[in-house]
Amino acid sequence: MSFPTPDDIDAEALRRMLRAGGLEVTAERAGAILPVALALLKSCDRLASLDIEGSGGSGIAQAPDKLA
Amino acid sequence: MSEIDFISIAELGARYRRKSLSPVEVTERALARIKALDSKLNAFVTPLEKESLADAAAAERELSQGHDRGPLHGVPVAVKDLIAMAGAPTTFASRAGSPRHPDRDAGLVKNLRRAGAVLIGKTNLLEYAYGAVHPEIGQTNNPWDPKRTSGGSSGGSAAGVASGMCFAAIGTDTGGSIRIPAAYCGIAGLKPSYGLVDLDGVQALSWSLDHAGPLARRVADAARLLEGMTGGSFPARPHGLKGLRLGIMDHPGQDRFLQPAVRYHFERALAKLRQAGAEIEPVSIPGLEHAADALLTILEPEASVIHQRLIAAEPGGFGEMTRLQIEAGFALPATAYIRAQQLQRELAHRYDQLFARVDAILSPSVPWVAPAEDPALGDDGGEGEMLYSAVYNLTGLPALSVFAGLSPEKLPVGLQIVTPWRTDDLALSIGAALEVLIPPVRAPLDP
Repeated sequence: MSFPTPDDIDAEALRRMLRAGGLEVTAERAGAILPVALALLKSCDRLASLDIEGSGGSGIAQAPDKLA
Repeated sequence: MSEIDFISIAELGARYRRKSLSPVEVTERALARIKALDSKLNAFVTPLEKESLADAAAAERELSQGHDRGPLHGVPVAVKDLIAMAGAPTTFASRAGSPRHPDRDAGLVKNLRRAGAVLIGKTNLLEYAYGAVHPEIGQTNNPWDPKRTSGGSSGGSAAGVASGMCFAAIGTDTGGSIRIPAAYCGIAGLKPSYGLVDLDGVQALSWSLDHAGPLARRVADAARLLEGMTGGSFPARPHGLKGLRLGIMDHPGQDRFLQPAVRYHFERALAKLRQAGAEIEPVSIPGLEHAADALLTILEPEASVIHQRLIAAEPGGFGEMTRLQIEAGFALPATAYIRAQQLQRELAHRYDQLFARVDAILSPSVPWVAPAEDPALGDDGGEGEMLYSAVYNLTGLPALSVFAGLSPEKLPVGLQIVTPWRTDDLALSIGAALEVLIPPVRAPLDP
């Protein structure tokens, strides 16, 4: 699977994604956000290509065990 | 100019107890330096003149009565302005949700007061510690060259310490925000183990990645501040170097960013360590090249949730760059966040394994010396600036930046020391040993 890529997303698509995430913005504002969002989504895309043995959760969640 | 403003915390304490120097006198000197120098540096958002002089008078009275609170008693310390202090405004270096007037101290501030520290003021930062300067507030300039940045986001704390306005300061670090300014300003800065320092009352940027820690001119001073913040014991005695196993981390992509002066001083430090008996070997971690991607993919949506109400209520109160970052974070898929957490967990595991072979891992702190301005988070410059630091926010390992030398243009170079989980004193002890081989140099700025 892959995350949305820069080719898939324009300002209107981003506006809908932001809305799904909990932020309402105008189409004009979405256009301003677009370059920053696309740079972030490239990071997501690179992570999606990794083959990680996935048991989930964060490394930080190990902290209490390590402290014990 | 007087040496007094730059002596160690141990020496300051000794002079207090010999009565050759008093907390009030030292606090007055520090406040005078802030007045004289801060128009050039912009390190302090809120100096606390009246309050710090009252704290200093109380410390002086207690010490004269034999009530000794320990090494920080009467020592001027500054606090990054996203940490709550009762009686002082918190601005977050922003116009959004600012100022706040907390009615209670953050946990670490409470500990510092208990240790007798004189809290001299609140220091400037990148807006909400999020990678960009608010244009109405401006960046903190570097004591080594005021035309350059002191780094972010704890730049005010670093510049205040380096210029002798205080003896130590508190910073926070979510992707390098203690270690980057420490390196740019030629001082010591520790990002402690995740969870070591209580973050109650510290404005969050990313719950998974946030740390608070000390900045100081010497490693021992940073250790005293860490003790004051936590109530723990971190002797930070110079570690024996003979037989110490040091891994030199191969950071993929570093050749793209690494400046010759930084490479030179890093290799010079390794040569000195080898000469002193350390065993040095190259090491690598698979997946390290994706650390910055994972950091941003965790940080951005967490920051967006943290600032959700404020960005809806006062979007224009944020600087445009900070506002864009907060807004963009709402678009990240949950699946990406989980993938980033999986890599975070995997990297922590791989580092654990590596520490069976080496006692500590070394790298430069930042691939370059202080630039004119802080690069934007998420672009090429931001990736380069966090090249060596980001992975240790992900893994939660203690990471210390220490002075490694001066570039030809007389700008400091930093070296990073990383040790296993909860071995913060080992990182400090190795830093103290390196400090003997490469003594720190004082910034040239004076009134």
